[in-house]
Formats: sequence, structure tokens, C-alpha cells
Amino acid sequence: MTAMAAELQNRKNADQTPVVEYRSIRKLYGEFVAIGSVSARVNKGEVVCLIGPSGSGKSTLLRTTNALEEIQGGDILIDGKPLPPKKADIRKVRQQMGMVFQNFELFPHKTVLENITVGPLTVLKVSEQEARKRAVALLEKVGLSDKADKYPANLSGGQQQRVAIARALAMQPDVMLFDEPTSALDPETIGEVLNVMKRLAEEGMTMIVVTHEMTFARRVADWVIVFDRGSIVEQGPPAQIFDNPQADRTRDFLSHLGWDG
Amino acid sequence: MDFDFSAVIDSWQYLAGGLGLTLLLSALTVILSLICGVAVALGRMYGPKWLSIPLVFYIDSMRAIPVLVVLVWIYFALPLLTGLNLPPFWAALVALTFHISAYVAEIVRAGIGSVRAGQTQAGLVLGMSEAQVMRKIVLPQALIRMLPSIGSIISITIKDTAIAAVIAVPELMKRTETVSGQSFRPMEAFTVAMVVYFLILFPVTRLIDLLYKNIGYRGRS
Repeated sequence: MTAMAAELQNRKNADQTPVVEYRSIRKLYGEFVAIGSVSARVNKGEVVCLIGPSGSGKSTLLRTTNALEEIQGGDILIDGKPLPPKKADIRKVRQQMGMVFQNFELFPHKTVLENITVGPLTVLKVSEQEARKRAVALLEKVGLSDKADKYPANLSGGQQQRVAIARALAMQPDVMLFDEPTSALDPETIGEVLNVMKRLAEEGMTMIVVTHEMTFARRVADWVIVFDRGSIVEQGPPAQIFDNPQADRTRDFLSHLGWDG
Repeated sequence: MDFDFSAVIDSWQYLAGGLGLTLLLSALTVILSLICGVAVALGRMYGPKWLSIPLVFYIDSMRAIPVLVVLVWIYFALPLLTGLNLPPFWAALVALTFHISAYVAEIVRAGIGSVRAGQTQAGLVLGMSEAQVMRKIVLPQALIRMLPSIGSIISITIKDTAIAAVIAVPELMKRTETVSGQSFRPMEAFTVAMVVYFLILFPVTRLIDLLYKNIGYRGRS
């Protein structure tokens, strides 16, 4: 059996059209090749973790998914359809993808509740009542019901990031993109954010997660992609990547992090 | 030297009417300048190239020409050039707005530029259009960040309305001159005017500082 065939068989929902498929993606900053030629897929209900050294291109790849970064070559397929060229159509695609940033990027002039309702109200044009109902339910889900009327400045980093997750979920996305969601957090608040993400994964949300949290990747990911210098050095189930890495550079990277299983 | 405030005190209703007009002219100028300033800044930053060149020229020239010259030109020269004859109050409103808007535009431009790119991206990934991101996310934060500068603009505007006296707008300064001339008590009349301007402006700047102290965090991402 070829490696590709094994990949197709072993992965969750491998028989269905991937939610996101990257085909030979190239991304250049002037002369600098940020992403060489990267191909990967994310199936429905999978948690795919992108790991690798800083500057290896994993965040850049994530940000091409919803066209925050333009690509210079290759195709990105969302539910089998290429990312549309027109701005108005990209907005439709973005509505189906939640995104969580390293620096939270909550809107400081809006209360926690308004941060969560602004998307549905502005973009989906749901009623005030419906948006509020959704937001209250989501705040309960992330354990912050008592913070609805606070401003982001009054919350800890971990609480802000949980609100940011709720804000993204309020759009009822098909897939969630996480760009190093715990990298800007104090160590003691990382756990509360990872717990919310873990529960989301258990509920079957399709997730693409750029992370340096190897324990999270090991325990929660269905598929791990290892990046180095703009290309994929290895991808596979977490058991392979963490316990039996095939590529030298994967081993190097993990040993630098002090990973010992 | 003897002091005699009786002439000024006897004319208090006349002077209060002038103060009312000063405040009306100030309020209208501030509101219009904020609207025009935002429009000019957005036009310069996001508009087509052919628009940004005249807008930059407009901003630069307003910074280089005294407001008094703009006022006098609009009142005396514009009618000869175009036949458009504005009554004094309207000429003052147009001149002040034209002048102050340029400063507001620069403040708005700096304010918008200071909101970090991540905020725009956070709006875009929700599926918002660029116009929605500007209206709902960037501009409100920029306005909060601009509060201290807007405070300065408000006090400069109130002070600048005094020059409307030269085209006989019956505001506080003009009426003070009249009282001074009729009573031969310039020292008392102009001292009162000075104190009144101070009493109006001092709380305004303090209030805006206080407001910023209390809500400034809502503009910090």
C-alpha cells in the first residue's frame, strides 16, 4: 500500500470531500519563499495541528486558508471548491471559518457580549434577540457568563481568548482556525483555553491549530503536520510524529523542545 | 487707576447674547469639522489617487494660511469672485470649518493608523466588508484614541471664533468691543471677556481629559 493510500484509509472521514485542501501552495514575500510547495488536507471533524519552529510557515499557511494572505501558486479548496477571487465571495467563505488570533484581537470598545454579537448582527443580519441568545449560550460554554457586560480590558488573557473563541463560534462556522492561541498567555491561563479547545474537538468541530503546545497536539490532534523552512517535513497521526518520527528534522525539533513523550 | 464695572454689568444681557452666539458658532464648527475631517481623512487614505492629491494640498494649505486670512478672504473676496455673498455668521462658520477640518483630518488619519492591523483582520475574518470594519471596528477605536487631540481642537475652535468679530458677527468678542467703545471702559470690558473665555474653556478641556481617563481603555487593543 502506498503512503497516500494509507493516509486516506486511516484518517477520519477520509472518504468525504476534505473541508480544506491545500494543493501545492506557494507563498512568497518578495524573493523570500515563505511556503515552498505545500499540499495537505483537513477532513471533516478532524483536529489538525501544525507544528514546527518559529518562522517555518505554519501560521502563514493557516492565514492563506481564509485569504488573509494571498498565495502566489497552487490552489486552496474549501469543501472542494477553490477560494473565490472576488472579495464579496471571500467574505462568504470567511463566514464559514472561525479564526482565533495569538493576540486575541477582541474589540476593546465593545463589551464581551457585543464582541460576540457584532458578527452575527452585522454579517448574518440575525435579530438582536437571536444574537444575544446565541452569545449568552456561548459565554456559558466557555465559562464566562458573569463577564458579559465587562470590557476586554477588564479580563485576563485566558478569559479574553475564551471570549475570542466564543466570538468565532457565534458565526456557526464549519471549521475553526487557531493561530498560536496560547502563545501570548501567562502559563497559568493556558490550560483554561486548551480545555475549551479540547471540548470543541470532542464535539466534532473541524479544527486547524498552529501551536507550540505539544501535549495538546499529542492528545487532541487527529493529524499532525510538521513544518520546517516553508515545507512539510512530515505528517501523520500524533502517535507516529511524537513516538516514532520518521524525519530527522522532526526528531530535532521535538528534542529542542525537550519533548520526551 | 479706578475700576468701574457698572457699564459692563449693565450690558450683561447684551454680552450674554454674544456668548450664546460664540457657543453656537463653536458647537456647529466642531460638529461640522469632525464630520468633514473624518471624510477628508478617509478620502485621503482610502480614496482614489486623483482625490488624495487635492486633499493633501488642501490640508497643507490650511496649515500654512492663518485662519483670519481664510475668514476675511471668504467674506470679502469670495463674493467678488463668485457672486456668493454669505452673511457674516455663515461666512465665519464656513471659514472656521474649512480651517479646522484640515487639522481634524490629520488627527483622524493618525488615529486610524494607530489601530493595529490585527483589529481589521479580526473584523474581516467575521466576514465583514472593509467599510463595515472601518465603521464598526476601526473608527470607534480611533475616535476614542483621538479624544485628547479632539479636546485641543474644541478649545482652539472656541478661541478662534473670536476672530469672527472682524466681520461683525455679534459674538462675545464683537459685543465686548462695542461695550468697551460705548462706555470708554476697555480695561473692564476686555478683562470680563478674558475671564468668560477662560471659565468656558477650562472646564471643557478638564472634562475631556476626565472622559479620556475613564474610557480611554476602550480604544486600546
